[in-house]
Amino acid sequence: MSTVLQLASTGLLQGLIYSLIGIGLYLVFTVMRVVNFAHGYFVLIGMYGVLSLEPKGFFPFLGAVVVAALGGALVGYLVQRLLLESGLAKGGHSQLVITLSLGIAIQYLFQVLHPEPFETIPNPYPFEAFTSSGVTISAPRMAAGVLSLVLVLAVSFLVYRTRIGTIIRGCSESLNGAIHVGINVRRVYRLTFALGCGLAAVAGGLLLPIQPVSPALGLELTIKAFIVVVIGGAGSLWGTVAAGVLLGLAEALGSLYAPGTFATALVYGLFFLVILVRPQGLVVRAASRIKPAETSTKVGVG
Amino acid sequence: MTLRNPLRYLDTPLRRVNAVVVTVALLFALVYPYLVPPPMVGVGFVALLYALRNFTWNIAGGYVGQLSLSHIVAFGTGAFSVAVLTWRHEVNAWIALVVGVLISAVVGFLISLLMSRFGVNAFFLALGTLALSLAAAGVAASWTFLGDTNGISYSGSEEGFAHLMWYIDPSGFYYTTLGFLVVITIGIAALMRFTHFGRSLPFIREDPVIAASMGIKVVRNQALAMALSMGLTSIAGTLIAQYVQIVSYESVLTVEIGVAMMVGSIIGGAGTLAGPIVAGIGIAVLEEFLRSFAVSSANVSSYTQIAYAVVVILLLRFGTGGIMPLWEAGVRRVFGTGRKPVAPAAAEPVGELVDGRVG
Amino acid sequence: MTTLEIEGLTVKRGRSEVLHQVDLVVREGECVCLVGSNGAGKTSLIEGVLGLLPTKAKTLSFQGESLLGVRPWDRVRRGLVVVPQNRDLFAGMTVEENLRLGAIAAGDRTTADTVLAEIYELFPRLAERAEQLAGTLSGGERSMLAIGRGLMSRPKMLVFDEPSLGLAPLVVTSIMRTIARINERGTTVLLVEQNVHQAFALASRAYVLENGVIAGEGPTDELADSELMRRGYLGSAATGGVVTT
Ligand SMILES: Nc1ncnc2c1ncn2[C@@H]1O[C@H](COP(=O)(O)OP(=O)(O)O)[C@@H](O)[C@H]1O
Ligand SMILES: [Mg+2]
Repeated sequence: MSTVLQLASTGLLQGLIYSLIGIGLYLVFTVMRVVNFAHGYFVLIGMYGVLSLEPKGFFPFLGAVVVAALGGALVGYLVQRLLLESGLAKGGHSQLVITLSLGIAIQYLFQVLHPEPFETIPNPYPFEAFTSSGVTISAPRMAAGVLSLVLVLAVSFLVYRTRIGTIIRGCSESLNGAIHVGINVRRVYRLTFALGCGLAAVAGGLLLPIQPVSPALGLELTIKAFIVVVIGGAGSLWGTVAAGVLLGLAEALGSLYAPGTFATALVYGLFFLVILVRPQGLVVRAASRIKPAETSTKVGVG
Repeated sequence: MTLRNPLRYLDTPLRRVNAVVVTVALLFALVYPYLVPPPMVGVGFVALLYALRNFTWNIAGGYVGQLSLSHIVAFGTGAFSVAVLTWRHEVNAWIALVVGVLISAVVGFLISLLMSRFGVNAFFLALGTLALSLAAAGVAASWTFLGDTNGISYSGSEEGFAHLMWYIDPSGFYYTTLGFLVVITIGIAALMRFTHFGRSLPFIREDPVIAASMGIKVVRNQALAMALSMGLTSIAGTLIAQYVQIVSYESVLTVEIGVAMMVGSIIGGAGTLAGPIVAGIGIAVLEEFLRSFAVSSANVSSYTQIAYAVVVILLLRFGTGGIMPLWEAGVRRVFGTGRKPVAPAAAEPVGELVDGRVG
Repeated sequence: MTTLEIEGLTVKRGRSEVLHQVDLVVREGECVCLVGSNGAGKTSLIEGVLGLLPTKAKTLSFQGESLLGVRPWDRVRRGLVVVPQNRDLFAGMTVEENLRLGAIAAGDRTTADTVLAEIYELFPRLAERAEQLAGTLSGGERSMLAIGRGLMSRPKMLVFDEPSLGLAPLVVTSIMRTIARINERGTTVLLVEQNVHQAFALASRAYVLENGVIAGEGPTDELADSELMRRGYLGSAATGGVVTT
């Protein structure tokens, strides 16, 4: 029993990180209809960013995470502005191939810069572990989960309760509608892409003390982000959050019953079926009911 | 008409120049193993293999526009079928090759059919086929039948064309691959030109709805193209397995292989006949070039991957269609068109980001 | 003073040119209508003027300033607002959110509440449904919401693209009356319609668009009796109710 409890808590905390990674992709996906195949590699940018800053202690670590996030956001902004923007109106699938290639480029750049696999940093938090009723959670894992949750809530506040969030949602509802009310959609796209990539990089920074980083991790994280977004559906941000937690739990509890690689294969196989059956997502219906009750926008803000 | 007098085909400067280039390239390819030491013949084999791999991906990915990553599965199937059947059970390698082709073709047919049946768009096709390939890699990694994490190593003693195996001199592999490449290229070119099926493919890529309204069986032809494409990709997998004599999920079922095929075709010019071949050979030469700089071998593949990615990003960003369209434009500029140019097939780009209705 | 001046406007859709050398002028405070049958190029003209389609023009100016090279959203911010044919509402957001988004970029934030109250007064129906999702509204309500959203930024000029499209006759009459009121309150109006009777009743001048060129223009009372309208136009297209794409 306590094994299950232990795994469930670990899975829940890991799932919150997936949620954080997922909402970054969700924003880009719903607002711009761009499938960012490089998303997981922005997590990698966060991980290697924090790693190379070698933070010693709690506050330097937080500082490093912020710097890495800003770096990820900047790279994202430039990618959107210089590489993706011009292709958006042309149709075709240039963004798909560009982001896929970008991911590969980032992966092998890190392969050259950091040939050693599984690099990590020591626990930067001033605690070691938390124990309660037979369940032990290490400080970095607990902190990563909690901080991810805080960030997820902050993003949902941004999206549902602020002026800029209203604009972002407007663009995702109807691009032409957004233009007709005078929204500079080009700028919104750039900012959204930067935000999405920044969130991925933050998640990477938080993940680093728990999960050692290798260049190949980027692809795995990209796929997981897609799993979260596709299962969560395009309806609401909360679907993505729920799907992230679900993935974390499924992964942790699944490890009880199936060996690693086969369990992964199973997850990918199921994901394939989800894409076939419901590309619009599984959680979407349930999630749209959890929408915040008071959705009126604060026009005066910002 | 073309059959009666082949020379009539050479009616434009571009075609005449291309005919000369192809003839010279073929002659060079034929004598190449006699000009260089055996290790360089190996490089030649790898170059031709890349070309073959890109070319076969291009059938579904370029001509029909199905940006598939399930070709990873086809490549792996070709490799694993020879490993399991020939190396373990001493079935003739050619039979294993055919089995790999058939399995891959059936898998390709089913995947395409499933995707069409559920109306999956291009993004989800790429994502879904990627998931499928990763699932296949996961299965191979945990299933002893496919060598799990250890892989399967070659065992056998027979050599020669009948066994698709040469131990010391790689020119056997080289010529076999060249043969496959030439036969497949001619076959596909004929298919695209003379059959109703082949001619329908570009229409499907441009607009499946309009194609369907023209009476083209879109779903069936997509599935057939995918079957053909993946089936032929499997041959490349079989050849590389025989050449390196070890097969594992890490060597033949990786995303990099799928991306290399896709990106290689795009660099060369998706939907062109020669583009994927030129790009495949070019990449092999680039790898060899980097190696000559004494870059450590682990880094060679890193740098080529980065080079691949950067080139394809720049190509797509600046809207050129790849090497072949550039080449054609260049030849026309130098030698003239020789006749009125046909209207370009590509839709005119709309400069604005904003028109959701055009994109 | 001219509000909108178009001279030699050519608009392309994909590879084909759908509007050829069109001249059109709307003066301040006017209500001008543009009529034309299905596929004549009315929507293309609007999208060209807003910069959503690639265009060429000798002159394209709004309130005396050239719009050439100005981004579509900046044209909106200058006060040139379109109520599009397919409404382009934010379907997953509430009526009130839609309206407030109307003022979010171009409007003066402090007056948003005042304008909102005015719009609710103009369309009491929208006030009743303030919390309903836009995607669940009826056709008439969607049309009202699109107009209301367009008004939120207090535009100098409103362009209506077939506001009567797909609506019941009674609803059409009410919408047309509202457009008249909007014009009376000082907003310049370009009304694009297939429904000639309704449009001519409202507008002082009219342009007739046929196959991408202006086939006739003039004061509506003169034009209504003209050979052009009697011969081809009124007969075929004025029956209305045809759904355009
Ligand atoms: N998305 C499109 N792509 C290409 N041509 C189009 C498109 N939409 C409309 N057209 C063509 O452009 C012409 C003008 O259409 P439109 O401006 O919508 O006319 P109207 O609004 O007067 O009905 C028509 O001939 C129509 O067939
Ligand atoms: Mg129209």
